[in-house]
Amino acid sequence: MNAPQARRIPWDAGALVLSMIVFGFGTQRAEWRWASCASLAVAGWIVARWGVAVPEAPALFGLRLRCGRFLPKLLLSLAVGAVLAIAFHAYRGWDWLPRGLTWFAVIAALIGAAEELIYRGYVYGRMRAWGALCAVATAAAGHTLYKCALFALASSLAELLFLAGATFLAGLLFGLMRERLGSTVFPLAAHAAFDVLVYGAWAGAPWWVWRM
Amino acid sequence: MSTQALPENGHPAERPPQRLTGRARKLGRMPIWGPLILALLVVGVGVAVWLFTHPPATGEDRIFEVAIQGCEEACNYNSMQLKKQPSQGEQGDKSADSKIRLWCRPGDLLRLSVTDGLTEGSGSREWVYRVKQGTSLRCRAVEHGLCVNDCVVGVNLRKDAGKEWLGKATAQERAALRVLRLDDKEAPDLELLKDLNWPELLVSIEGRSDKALALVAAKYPIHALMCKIDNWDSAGGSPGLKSLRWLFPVGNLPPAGALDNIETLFWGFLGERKTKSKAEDLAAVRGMTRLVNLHYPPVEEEGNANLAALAARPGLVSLSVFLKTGSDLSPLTQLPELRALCLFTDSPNLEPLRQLKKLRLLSLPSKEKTNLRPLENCKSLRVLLVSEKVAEEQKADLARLQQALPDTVIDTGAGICLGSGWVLLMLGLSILAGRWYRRRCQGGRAGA
Repeated sequence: MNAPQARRIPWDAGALVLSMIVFGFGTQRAEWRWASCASLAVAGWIVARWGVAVPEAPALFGLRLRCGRFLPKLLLSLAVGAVLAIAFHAYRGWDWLPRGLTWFAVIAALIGAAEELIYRGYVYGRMRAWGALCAVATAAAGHTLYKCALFALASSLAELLFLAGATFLAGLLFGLMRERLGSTVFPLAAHAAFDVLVYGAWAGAPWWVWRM
Repeated sequence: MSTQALPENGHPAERPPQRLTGRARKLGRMPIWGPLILALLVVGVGVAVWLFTHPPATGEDRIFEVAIQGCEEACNYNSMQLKKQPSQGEQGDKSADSKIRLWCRPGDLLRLSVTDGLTEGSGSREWVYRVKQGTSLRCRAVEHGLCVNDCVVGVNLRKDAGKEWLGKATAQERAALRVLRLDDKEAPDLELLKDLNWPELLVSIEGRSDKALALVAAKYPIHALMCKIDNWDSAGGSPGLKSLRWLFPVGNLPPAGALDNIETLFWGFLGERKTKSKAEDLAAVRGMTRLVNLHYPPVEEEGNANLAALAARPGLVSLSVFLKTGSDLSPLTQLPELRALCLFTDSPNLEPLRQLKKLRLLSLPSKEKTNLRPLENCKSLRVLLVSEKVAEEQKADLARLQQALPDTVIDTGAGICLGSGWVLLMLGLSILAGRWYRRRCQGGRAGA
């Protein structure tokens, strides 16, 4: 009985991905804010009802701290995030590392961690029954679509293509990290390190964070 | 299936529910309170660090947003940022309930167009109010004047109701007055005007106001004045005008050297053309050695001001000016103290603005495409106002500019919308709600 039940169609993961896309796209215009708000509420409800509230929540989100060689794996994850951040800095033509950090580094890390909990946590966890490849690819694709929706109207086509390619590749890498290292903590740490190094020196949140 | 059949190390949800008592129940609650307290601590430390590292800006450097309710339109004098209520319905009925949002600096004077639904001749439409803090203003026209946040701040002595109110006003009410509107046709009762808070009061005289102004200025010190004067000879020498700091003349400027203490000169309302003074005639402005805020009107048919002559005032902090298309902005580099700038011109070359190290607010009302690249180096910029058309057509440019200037608010009049950071709120609430739902289900099962 367990196998067919486990391989049920993960409509909740699909709905979560879709509602995050609508939320991201809705942030572009003030007149769409209610649609954006509603889709964020739907996403929150899905995470609460079928993620946090179910007995298998720890396994679903994959927040395991007791896995072999935790510290080396954590350091490796932080290094992965740092390398990605340096690559991004080089692409933008900025200094390789930020000169100092501000309070926004904390917010940036939390936002990165939240995205990982949604995509490498919930979406990956729900899709895992369909195979590791499917789970990694779906989580990366969902994350990419959300990012593209977030910047759809504010970016040129070339910038959107770069954003999509970079987010998808990083998403694949983070998905593999969860699969091979055995916990969502590692992609979460990598993403947080990336965000801290890229945005941590900013004196305030950029426009797409709060939009107030 | 009996509970004994379950494996000992089965999933917690598959184990028979157990009632927790005493200390065990307390510990059972820890998983919720522990992370919550930790999160609160993290947020608290974050806020404390932010407060210590970002002390509130003071003085002229501070720019805040003022929400104004109950107005048909509002205008910031220094930056000439004009906002109107959105019209409702085909007849153009305007609701005073929605808010107008303006960016201001401390001490900015706002022109508020307030109506109580009476005819325009009622004299209750145009009021001026000086903002000190970034607070919300709820405006309401009353029979005798203007109420802001349920406090009478303006009295209209052109009406009998205004005179009657001022005659009965308490000392506290008199001290709270900020705007005094006088009648140009009738000599004011000077006894009525005693004990007013003159340093904070703006005197507004409509029509040809030479005589009324001369009478009042002979007895009281006037610090802020809005008037329409063709002949300054009768009033210009009055002792009360020596303390004048803010001047909003419709018509001629005072003669050079007559009013040298003026700090703010807002010369000429939009649409006002019939004046003997010429905009090119800067003799009076040159004499105003303390001038820090200047709005310069459009020159008839030319639409161009002599920017080089205007820039001869190095102490200028705020400037709004009409210029020809393609005008050279390099004279602005001689204004190192400039913090607020409003350029009424199409497609300006913004390259010289790179050198304005203190520029905080820039308003570009132009609807033509503008090269915004030079602004990427204006690290001090905090507010950029662009027209909706520019915002629509130059989204990619504005996004790139925002990347370069993350501290800058780019106001396109689009209003409030959400951002990616709200995912944090969603996830936090989801975790709390999910855990509550799970406990509720477990409690229900335990009860059954």
